[in-house]
Amino acid sequence: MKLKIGYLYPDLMNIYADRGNVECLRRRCEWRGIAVDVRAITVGVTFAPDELDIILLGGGQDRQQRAASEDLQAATGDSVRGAVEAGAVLLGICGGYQLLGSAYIDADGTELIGLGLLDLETRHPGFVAARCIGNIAVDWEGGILVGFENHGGRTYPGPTAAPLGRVLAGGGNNAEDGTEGSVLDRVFGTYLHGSLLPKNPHFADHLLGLAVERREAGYELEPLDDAAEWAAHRAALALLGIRQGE
Amino acid sequence: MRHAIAAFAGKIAGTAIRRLGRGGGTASPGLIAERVSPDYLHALLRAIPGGYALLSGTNGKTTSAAMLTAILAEQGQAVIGNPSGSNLARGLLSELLRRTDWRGRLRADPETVGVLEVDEAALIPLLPPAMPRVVVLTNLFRDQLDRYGELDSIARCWRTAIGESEGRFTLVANADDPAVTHAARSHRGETIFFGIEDPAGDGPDEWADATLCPVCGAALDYARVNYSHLGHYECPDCGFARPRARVVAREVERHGLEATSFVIEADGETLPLRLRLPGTYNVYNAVGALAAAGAMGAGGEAMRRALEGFAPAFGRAEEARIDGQDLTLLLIKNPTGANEVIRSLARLDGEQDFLVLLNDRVADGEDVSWIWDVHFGRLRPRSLVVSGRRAQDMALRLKYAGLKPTGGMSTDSNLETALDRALAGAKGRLYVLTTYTAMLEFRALLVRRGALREYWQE
Repeated sequence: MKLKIGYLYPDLMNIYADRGNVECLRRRCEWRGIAVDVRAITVGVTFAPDELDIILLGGGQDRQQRAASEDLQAATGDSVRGAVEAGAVLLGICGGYQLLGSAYIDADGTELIGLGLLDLETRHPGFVAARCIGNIAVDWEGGILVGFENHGGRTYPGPTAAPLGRVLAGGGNNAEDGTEGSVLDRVFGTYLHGSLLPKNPHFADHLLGLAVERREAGYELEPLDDAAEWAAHRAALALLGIRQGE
Repeated sequence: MRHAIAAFAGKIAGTAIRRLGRGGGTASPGLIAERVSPDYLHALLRAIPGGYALLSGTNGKTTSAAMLTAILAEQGQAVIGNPSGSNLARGLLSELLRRTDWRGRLRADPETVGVLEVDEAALIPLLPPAMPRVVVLTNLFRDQLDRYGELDSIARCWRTAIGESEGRFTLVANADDPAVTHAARSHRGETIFFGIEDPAGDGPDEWADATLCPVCGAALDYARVNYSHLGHYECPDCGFARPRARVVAREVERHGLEATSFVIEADGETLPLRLRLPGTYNVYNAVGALAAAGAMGAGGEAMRRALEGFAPAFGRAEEARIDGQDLTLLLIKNPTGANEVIRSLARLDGEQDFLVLLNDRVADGEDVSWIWDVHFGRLRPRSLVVSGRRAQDMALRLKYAGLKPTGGMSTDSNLETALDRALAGAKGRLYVLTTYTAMLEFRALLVRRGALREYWQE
């Protein structure tokens, strides 16, 4: 088994240590004897629909996000859409999540066009409004997810959007409706960083499971010793006053 | 009258905290006084008889301030400062309160000057009203985004605050940091740029952040990178470029974790220096401090004597000895600073023993994501103990960095037993990598065990 991970805009969209997610997927493959190749996709780079198994897109500052948005209007965006149609897993976090929706209206009122893969729109209320900052826990169908959120933009899901989960503690999509993130088939978006995947091994393996299943039907991921992962997970939950048995 | 009440309330709190043995009382007295009279800090700062310098930026504030203080003290000047690094408005106020009489007036000899480090965000409201004599801007890196929001907004606010100050101070700014020079360009008074001009500088990090032009947003071209986004840059689109630096370091030579030597050149004069500190970041600290010292009227001989005799600032490569075991405290608080510390450690021969402490209090940054941007995989640990409020996060980070110490790795949330464990496992010098508030707790532990004196008594 061999997987190829595409890391989109590592030089623009990595403000909250999103490379921790790349490192997590890489190691969890290596420990299982799955060959893994990480490719940095920078501005102007294109790839074939079948080339990548997992694509990661992290968060950036407004100016960097604008540069990424512009590039996603061009050939790189077509490559991402093509890969998703061909069955690749896509995970967008924070600014990267916002760019999976139809649009992001930034603090200056400028509209950045998104990939339109998820039915949602994000608006930045301006610097007068408080950012959503702090530890966050979300009830996802596969278990609880923990992370840290830090975003000015408020994301409003459209009628066909399915949230990734319900907020147990924290702000989430817009600090109003109790939803966090969004998911459609193999496209995932969330505000959780921290980094997200190392502390949520069940979610990391969910993404890897989808990717290996696409390459080889019935392929089962070998279980790993995740004691350190769950210890960090429980410690993050304890900060929010949530106790959990796992 | 209100100032006197504020001073009284703050002093009572400070005395009580120290009497109770709850630490140095470096922030709460100021917080109380600030509540009573918000503009009291400005008044106290303006009352420093010889004027004062404010040093701000992400990294290097404490060390640069300590260097500048050492130079001025070498000339025989009395200096007021905040060497503990408590650098929010409340911390500055606490420090100054200890030097006021019971009516709230500053007690200081006529020639006394001030050297105060201040947090990047806390600098902004001070700039026009507090009337500093010199402002030093070291650099702007990604640090504690949970507290500041985004980096660009700090740079924008600096630019505005400097412009509104109408040139009433001398600005000393790092020429090699595009965010700093852009902010500095709004200054209407004298600006002294400093920098490093060293052809043998290190190369850029893997997947380094693209540095975008602060004027037009294009990706900057770098002729040379000293570290992170500090170097010699030029915008291919709008012509924004590194300004000419008046105080520069050349011929930089690194001597392991022990020392760095270089030649300072300013206004045609040269000054060879050997600094007992490692790393390019400390060369920046020294050049910035020298440029500031020049602006405060210091002479070359005092500069050389002070810097060559300079001992590390609070918690920065500070050394101690406990139970016959040597240890070195190394502060890590953001990816850029931590990566520079690790770069120096990676140059050591053989394997080392480590104690790594991660806290997530406000002064550390509540978001611990940044540890995933640190290249811990470059360390070669023999033994490794992890502690702090977020010990589990750090242990996980080190697991994914692929560290497999020959002497084993353990996690212990209790600092006291973690230290015992680290001392028991160490065969050589113990390197303690720690975030800011964990460093305070760890230092207090060393003091209790008689390995260090309390800094507010030094």
